Amino acid sequence: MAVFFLKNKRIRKSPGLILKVFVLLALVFAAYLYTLNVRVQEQFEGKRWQVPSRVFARPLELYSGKTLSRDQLIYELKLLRYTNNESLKQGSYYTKRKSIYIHTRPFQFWDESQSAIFLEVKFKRNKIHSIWNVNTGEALDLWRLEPLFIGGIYPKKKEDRILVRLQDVPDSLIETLLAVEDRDFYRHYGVAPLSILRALVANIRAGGRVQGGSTLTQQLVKNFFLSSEKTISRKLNEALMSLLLEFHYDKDEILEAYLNEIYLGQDGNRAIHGFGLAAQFYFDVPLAALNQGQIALLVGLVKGASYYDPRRFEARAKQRRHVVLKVQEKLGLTTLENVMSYDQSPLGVSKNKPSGMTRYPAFIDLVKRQLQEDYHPDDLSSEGLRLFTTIDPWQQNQLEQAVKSQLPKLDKKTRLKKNKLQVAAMLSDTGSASVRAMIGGRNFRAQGFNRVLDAKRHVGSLIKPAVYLTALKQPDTYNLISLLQDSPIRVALENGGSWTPNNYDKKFHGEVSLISALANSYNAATVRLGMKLGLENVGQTLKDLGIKREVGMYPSMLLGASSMSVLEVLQMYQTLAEQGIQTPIRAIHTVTTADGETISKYPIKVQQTIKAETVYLLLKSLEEVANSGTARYAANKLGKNFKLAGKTGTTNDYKDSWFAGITGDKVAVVWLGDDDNQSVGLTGGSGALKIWTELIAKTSSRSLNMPVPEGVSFAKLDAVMHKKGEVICASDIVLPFISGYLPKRRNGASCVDD
Amino acid sequence: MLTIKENQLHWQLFVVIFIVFITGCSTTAKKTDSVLEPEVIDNKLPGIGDDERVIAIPPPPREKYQSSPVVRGLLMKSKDKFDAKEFDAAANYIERGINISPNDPMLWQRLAVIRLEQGDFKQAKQLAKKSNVLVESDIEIRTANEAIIEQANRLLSP
Repeated sequence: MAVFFLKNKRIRKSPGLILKVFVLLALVFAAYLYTLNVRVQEQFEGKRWQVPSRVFARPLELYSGKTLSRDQLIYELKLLRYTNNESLKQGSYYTKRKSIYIHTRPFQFWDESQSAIFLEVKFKRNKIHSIWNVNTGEALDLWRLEPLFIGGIYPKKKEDRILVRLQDVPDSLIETLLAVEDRDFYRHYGVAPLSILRALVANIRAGGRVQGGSTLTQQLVKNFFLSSEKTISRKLNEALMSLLLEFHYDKDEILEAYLNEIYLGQDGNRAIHGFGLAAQFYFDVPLAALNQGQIALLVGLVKGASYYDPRRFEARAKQRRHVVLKVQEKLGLTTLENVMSYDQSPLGVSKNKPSGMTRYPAFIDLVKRQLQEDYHPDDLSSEGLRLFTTIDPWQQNQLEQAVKSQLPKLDKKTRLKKNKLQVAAMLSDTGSASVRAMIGGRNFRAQGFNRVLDAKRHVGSLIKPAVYLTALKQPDTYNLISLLQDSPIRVALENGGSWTPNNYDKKFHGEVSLISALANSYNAATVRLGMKLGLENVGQTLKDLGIKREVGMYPSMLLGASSMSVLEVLQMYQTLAEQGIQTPIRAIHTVTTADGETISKYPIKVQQTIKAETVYLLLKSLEEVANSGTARYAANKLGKNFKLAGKTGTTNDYKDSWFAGITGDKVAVVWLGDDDNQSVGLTGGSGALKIWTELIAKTSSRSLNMPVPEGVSFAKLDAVMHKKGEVICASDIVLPFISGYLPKRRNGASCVDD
Repeated sequence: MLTIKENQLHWQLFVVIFIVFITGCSTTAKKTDSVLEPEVIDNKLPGIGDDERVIAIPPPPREKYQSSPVVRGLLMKSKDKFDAKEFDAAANYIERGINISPNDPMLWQRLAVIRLEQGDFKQAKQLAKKSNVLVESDIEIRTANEAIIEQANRLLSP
């Protein structure tokens, strides 16, 4: 263009025109520069990086009397990547006689900062006997290990980083980096033409790339804003933006940004950015703990993280490390002997790379959903928040083991194709209603369809407690020994048709007590009762139990022809476990910033929606389900002294197999079925109950022992109508009743030898 | 300068808290399982005639609740934070206690007092009710819970 102007006689003869053209070009350039400037400042000032949220499990609390085996503690320590040796390093442990000695790590909890300690945990059988501070000899009431990092909530770009401040980066790393990549960093203005030339000469002499031509500023600009294409326009933009960056920000700010931005590896679809995360990803150590060899390897990766990947291309990585070590030797950061020693040594990358992929995708999904009311998804994936959740890795493992153990046997029982039988399950604590374990499908690690939250299935007999609870709310009319009719019933429907529910065993049992009707899950008796009570009243009881969705008020609802998720069923049974006090199921309790400042709390909240005495009676009935009813299997397996309350659920054509149950410290729900709604051929008792029982055997340590509410009185009865006119005669039938409503004697309910 | 009504409310709150902490500080024998000794105690109950063979079981003897040592430690730490008016920190200790011992009525009661102090009267009332569901036969804890519920009702009324 310049030649055109110079050759054009008209233009040569018109200096004014030339001036105007140059002014125009200058204006265009200035405008372009302005847009670049805005872009540079916006990126640098605003959300500089997308730092994913870090999700933590519950911390393991250690105290005298806690039911915890040595094996479980060792399992937890291994999960936390504690090494088994007698070194004095933080993050190590060893066993000696009945004790485990642990050098713990410090951790910033949501409520306080806990320093590292040398801890002794003494065991007696399967309980902690005592815990001690070994250095001071002091007995401790309570200590907690740091919580397990279980995953992150990543931005769409799937970048991951651990932010570091410049002052926390080892000096030798900075010196090595500058020596290799940008020797004149503190002298140039963003672009260094002489450096390019110098680097060219140095690289030719060394026979390889020992110096970079681009400055760190240019590399940062390329990472932040631009693609990696090698075009003139891209290079020009890079140069201009580098100059602008240097104009606005000081060297230390730019260097700190670089240390956190530079791409240093790939873990599946998670990109490893910054030296902070790279130190953990490759060597499983914090940045401050890197040795010279490790620093050399990481700095060497800047040139090409994929090309020099130490896990895939060991020889290349070693060669690159050697080149950088030689630079360190020249700087006086290391000696020739050390270089030679490192050259003979392996790279030292950790075998098991700490993965950003979560082992608990179903649970993380629940966490995200519980947070979405308060947080935009972009904030969750970019602000570097710390999310403290309730999941218990040990109990999660027990749930997975129970499923792995039972599912193959259940697969054989169904007529479905291989791997078609699906499972969903949740386990929570009583009291806090904290989720301790959950799985969304038979492939525990799969992301995607989360059956616990999203599979809405008919619940069958699981709904019956709501019907019987509605009855027991009227103590002047119903109690546990009220007689119900389990006989054929025809229900007129709104569409003009009719419905004739049948029992599971295709038999009718005549007059039966309320407690027996529930324990044996008689359909006819339940429908008669529910129709008499009124569907709206049963619907209200479901609301009182925590079911928020509108349930269709059809007669078939009484037998569970209503779709609910596993989470909803868990909420319902949680309210029963809390004796009528609705306690929302929670997966997360605190959100903090990366610095530990609390920004959100999700405390335990309670609301009494049903009288405790009414629920107490209902739970006594559900205890009978296990003692003598459809869940006898659980009582047999867990032992007579281990009390539980629960309900089986089987839907039409055996499409769904459910069990929901309560112990002294746990509530758990298990569902089995097919996503395509084919019959699985399993009842609640022959299917879901098996997994439930194995799970509870491994995770629950308290038998159900409900405190007796003030409004409950007991009565000893000599006879209770059980089923099909059969009268149970005994002198020790003790049942609870609402105070002031003890039962009247009934004609005909006498024992033979009276 | 506090108004007369604020003074009265603070005094009432002080009384409630005093009762609660006195309850928490006292120690007696640990709760044991009671054995029911059925006997006919009153066959003049409504609806039951002389020849009825429905025998009312007397309620178990009243015993004092005792928290476990680790929970007692957390209650003390919570109290320290409460006294320093760090209510969120006080609540954090209680929630840790609930994770360890979910059926301890003292923990729920203490949380109720904290919420009362934080102005969450509805939740304070519900937490006191929760404590009452768990307390069974300890009259002192129940009395303190009733005081909290009464206080919360008063503060909630217009």
